[in-house]
Amino acid sequence: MENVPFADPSRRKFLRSALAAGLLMKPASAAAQDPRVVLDAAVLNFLLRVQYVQTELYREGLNDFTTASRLRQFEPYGGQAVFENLRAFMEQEHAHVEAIRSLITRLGMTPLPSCTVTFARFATAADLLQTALAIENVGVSAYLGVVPLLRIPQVQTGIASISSVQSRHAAYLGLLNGQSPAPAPADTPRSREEILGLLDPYLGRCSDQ
Amino acid sequence: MLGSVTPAAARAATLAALLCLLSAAPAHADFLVAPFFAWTRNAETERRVPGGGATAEWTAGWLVAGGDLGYASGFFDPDEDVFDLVASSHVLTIGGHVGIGWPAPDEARFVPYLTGGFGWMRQQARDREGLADVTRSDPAFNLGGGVNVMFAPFLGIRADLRRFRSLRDPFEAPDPIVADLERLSFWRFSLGAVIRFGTN
Repeated sequence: MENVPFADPSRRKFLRSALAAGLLMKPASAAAQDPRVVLDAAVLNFLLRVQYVQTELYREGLNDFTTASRLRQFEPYGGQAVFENLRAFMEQEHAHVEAIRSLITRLGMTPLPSCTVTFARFATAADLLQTALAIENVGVSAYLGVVPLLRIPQVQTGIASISSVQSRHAAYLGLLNGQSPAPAPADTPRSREEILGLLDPYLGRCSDQ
Repeated sequence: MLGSVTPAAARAATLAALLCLLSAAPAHADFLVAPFFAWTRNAETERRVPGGGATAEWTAGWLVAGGDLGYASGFFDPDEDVFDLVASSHVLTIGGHVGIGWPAPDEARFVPYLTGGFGWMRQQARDREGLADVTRSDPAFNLGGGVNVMFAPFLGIRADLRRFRSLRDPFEAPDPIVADLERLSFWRFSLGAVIRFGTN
């Protein structure tokens, strides 16, 4: 399959644009807290849980393909370029985690601690690409559902900018899996229970290590 | 001639007029208790959240003085929390107030009033994860008015519209993303019974 170019794949570029948007600014001390930010913080912590799974998916997945013979499994999909794009996705997911944690701290709230996430070893590149598509689609529906709940304009802008990247990831992985990059004219948000249910096989306990 | 009236004389005249008005009022004092249902409007979520409370007042002629306790459940919940992310939230107000009411002879049916006062506004919200849990108590003022509609000398209904506003900033050193948050304020409309006890 021909490699599909991915716009702006580097983590450095994302971090630079995120910095420009003020997402990663150093948090000011907030001695007092306001209950009006609790909903935004709750939304961000919910998304953080999704992001932990996505980041770990790419980290574990790419670690399963370190030898030349294993990497050759990506040949039918576009070879090394696809592998590099997946690596860029991993870095972007990690940048999303950092951006969301920063937003929560700037609201004067506590980010969800890191979660234990476990994926079974990916036997083939096809396994990894299928799982990645499923997880990215969960992310798209999670972001879609919560963006309207956000009340702080800068938080809403920051999360919308991450949400669009989630959709790009899902579209690219859809193509790699032989599916339409945009299978429907409108996406459908999933409920909290549905999303947590889909992540449950991979997601473990979230606590400070 | 009027131009030569000194400020001190004007103040004295105003005080004299006020004393005359008060002395003209009947030396009749009442004690009112008014339990109510309330709808408090959160302007940011555009929700009217239900609640309740009670007011106790002492009236003597034009003078009204009393206290008020009000509770609005789910005040910080979103309008459609399909994700069920907020476990609980509320606003609790408690305060005293003074104001004026039209003198209420026993046979009066409509008794309008205007009052204002100070007190405390307790705000609480907690997320389902238990990671975001905020409770704060701010000094606050309230200003409003309403009418008591008496069916009998001792019983009636009361409708009240009141504005509450916190007197404390949301953050002491706000991060730019929350710098636009203003001090919390909201309208509360309440409807309830009013029970009057004549004291003399």
